[in-house]
Amino acid sequence: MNQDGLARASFVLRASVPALVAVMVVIFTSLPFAVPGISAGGVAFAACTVFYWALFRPEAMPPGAAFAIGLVQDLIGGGPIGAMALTLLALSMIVEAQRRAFAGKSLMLIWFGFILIALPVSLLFWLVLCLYQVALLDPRPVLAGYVLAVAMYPLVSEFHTLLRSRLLRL
Amino acid sequence: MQLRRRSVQRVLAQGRAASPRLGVALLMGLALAFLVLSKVHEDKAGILRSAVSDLLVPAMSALSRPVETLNRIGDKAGQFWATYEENQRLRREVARLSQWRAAAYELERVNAALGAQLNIRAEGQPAFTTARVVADSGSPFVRTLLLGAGADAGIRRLQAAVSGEGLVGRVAEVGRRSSRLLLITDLNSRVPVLIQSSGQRAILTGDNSDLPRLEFLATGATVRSGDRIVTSGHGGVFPPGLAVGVVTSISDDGVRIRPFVDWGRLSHVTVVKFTAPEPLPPRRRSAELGAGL
Repeated sequence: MNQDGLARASFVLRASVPALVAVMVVIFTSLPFAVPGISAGGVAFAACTVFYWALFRPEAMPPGAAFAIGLVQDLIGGGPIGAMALTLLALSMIVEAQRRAFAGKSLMLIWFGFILIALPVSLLFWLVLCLYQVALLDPRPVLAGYVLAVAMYPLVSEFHTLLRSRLLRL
Repeated sequence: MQLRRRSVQRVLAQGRAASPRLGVALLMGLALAFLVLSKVHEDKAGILRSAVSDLLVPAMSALSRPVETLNRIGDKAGQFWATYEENQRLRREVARLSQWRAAAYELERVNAALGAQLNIRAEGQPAFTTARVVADSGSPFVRTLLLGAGADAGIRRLQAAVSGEGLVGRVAEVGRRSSRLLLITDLNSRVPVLIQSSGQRAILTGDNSDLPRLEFLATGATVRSGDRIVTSGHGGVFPPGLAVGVVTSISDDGVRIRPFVDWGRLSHVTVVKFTAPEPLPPRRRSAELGAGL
């Protein structure tokens, strides 16, 4: 394999790490820990991950990856298949469309952007579930998940920044 | 010739520029298709989910063992804090239960004697499988559990699942090596029950909260806080007599039941292989009635 091919293969491998990390966190947090709601933390982590990488390196979080992460969550969690897939896909789409607005901004501003974007996306998830169950469901758990994701974002962002610069060099 | 080549190139270039959008639109369509199909064909969606959980369950089962150990260590640490109170409480409980045990032996003896007099046919003890809980529900809107055993272990859809404390739920989806339980607290769960003291029937309806409601009680039925709720066996899905919970509150909101099961400490459940007694075939029945007259 020539230099070009090796570089390409190396890039593909490194670019698939963020999505794989998100999938593993989702699977790991669905294990039966005695801590209730830990799987909500896993979903919040996945949402922050999709947001971060769709913003900074969309090659590492194409729409298909966001879709796949959501699909894994749906299949393990027992909820309607496609609900979280659709939600994370919508998140990645909105972020990629707004990339230019976020260019070069500080963490605080990006965090603020996350707060703004994640709210309608969470409500989309709630709406899809209401339609699926044909019932008006309590929005509080979804809002709690939103607040959790917002609170987690700076930490997750730091984690991914380290991952990106030190390990993956993307 | 030149013109045609350039126009073909232009179309291809346009296609390539649009293809990310096309890809996203396709994915959106796929997600919506999944949602609609899984709503319309819930059994097919169950097969897909079971196939995926069959793949993941061996690894998750292996991972859930250290998690269970961690939970037990946390539990033991907590227990050390309250050892003295716990000891006192357990002593009182043992004293109370010893009285009940004596009463139970006596009742069993009387029951057997009466049953022999009436020549009642005893129902056989149902077979069961015990499975490890491999994953909790991932969503606040769906109360399910993933088990590390499936069709290979004899588990089938609609079988009831219990823990040492009481009824947990029933099997909703079955794969080869995994199965998914619908808990009694889930929005879609309906369990025919009765109030043990009075024998009045009702339906235990989940609403995704920790306290499911008792619905379809006959008007004028008397319910008191603290009444024990057990399965009635009607409908043929749940075996009769399984402990479910206690009435915890009666208000405008409805009659709320606190299930006996401690959801936070569920590491294994027992799936009961119960088959309801078959109804009589109609023709033979009328012939028998006619012969009796």
